[in-house]
Amino acid sequence: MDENELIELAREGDRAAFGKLVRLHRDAVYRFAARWLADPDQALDVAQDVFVRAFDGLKSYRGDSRFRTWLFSITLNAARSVARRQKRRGEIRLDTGADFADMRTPPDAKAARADAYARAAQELATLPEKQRGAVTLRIYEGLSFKEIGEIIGCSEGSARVNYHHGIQKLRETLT
Amino acid sequence: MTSPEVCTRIGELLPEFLAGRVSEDDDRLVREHLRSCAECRNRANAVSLLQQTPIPSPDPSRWDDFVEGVVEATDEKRHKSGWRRVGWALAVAAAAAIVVLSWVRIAGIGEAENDLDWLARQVAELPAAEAAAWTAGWSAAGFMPAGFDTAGLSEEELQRLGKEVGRT
Repeated sequence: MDENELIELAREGDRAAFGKLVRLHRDAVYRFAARWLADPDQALDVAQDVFVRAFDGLKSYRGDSRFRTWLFSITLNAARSVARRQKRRGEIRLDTGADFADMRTPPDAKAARADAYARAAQELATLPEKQRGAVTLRIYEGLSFKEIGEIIGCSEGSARVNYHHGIQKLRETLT
Repeated sequence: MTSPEVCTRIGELLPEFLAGRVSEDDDRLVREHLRSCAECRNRANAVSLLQQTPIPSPDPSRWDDFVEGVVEATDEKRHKSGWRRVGWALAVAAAAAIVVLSWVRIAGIGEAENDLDWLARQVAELPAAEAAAWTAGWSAAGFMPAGFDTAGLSEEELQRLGKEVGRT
């Protein structure tokens, strides 16, 4: 059964079909939320909220964009809301919250690599929202600029410009 | 060959090049460009570092139950919103009933006729003296419906009217 059939069935209230859709996209939604929030528990909460909202909104999903692109739009809005609430409460994380240890490399190299990863995640998190969204969706999810524009709310050209500006800033800070 | 246009094109291809998902032609194009362009090599290093950066792992117990949790949450939300819809429907119906009744009351539709009918029904059962006293009081207070005339009632009918109203 293909994705469109699952969407149709889920629209009619088929729980099993909806469950299959969740299973198909949960990794991508979690990944995007976790990259944005750098906190696994919050990312899981957001991912769950995204699918609940998606189920509610299935009737309004017209299929103009890929289902995953539509889910990413919902994810970005939900993750932004959480990040804003955190910021208002003054709970800005300076680390990424991730354990970057790699058991296969020697301790010194491991520590250096963990530092580099933490710094990369932190620099990515400090980009302006649109640049951050464009870079994240391009380098981790391989989305087209048209899809990225739909998600971050701008034109394809503007998504492209945001990506290049973001990469340029990261080049300056990370190399 | 380096030019701003080529660097832009290479910059867009970098994520897929580093993930090994470009065509042979693009792969060759990127490799050749990176050999001669230090700026793009630095960009490639930055993108590569970001791509290798792991994401924080979710709590395995929450992750294993994720799908079931989402389906349950949607069921719960649907159940709640169903009751909320019923509540709203009842509230709207009650508000509509209040508006209609108020309008009927303000417009006085059927009121005079009903009051007259009601009084006429009581009249037949009241002692004349009591009825006369009561109806005089009502008239003075402006209670008596317009057009109602007790002059035509017999003493016995007036008595019954007064008695009945005295009980209520």
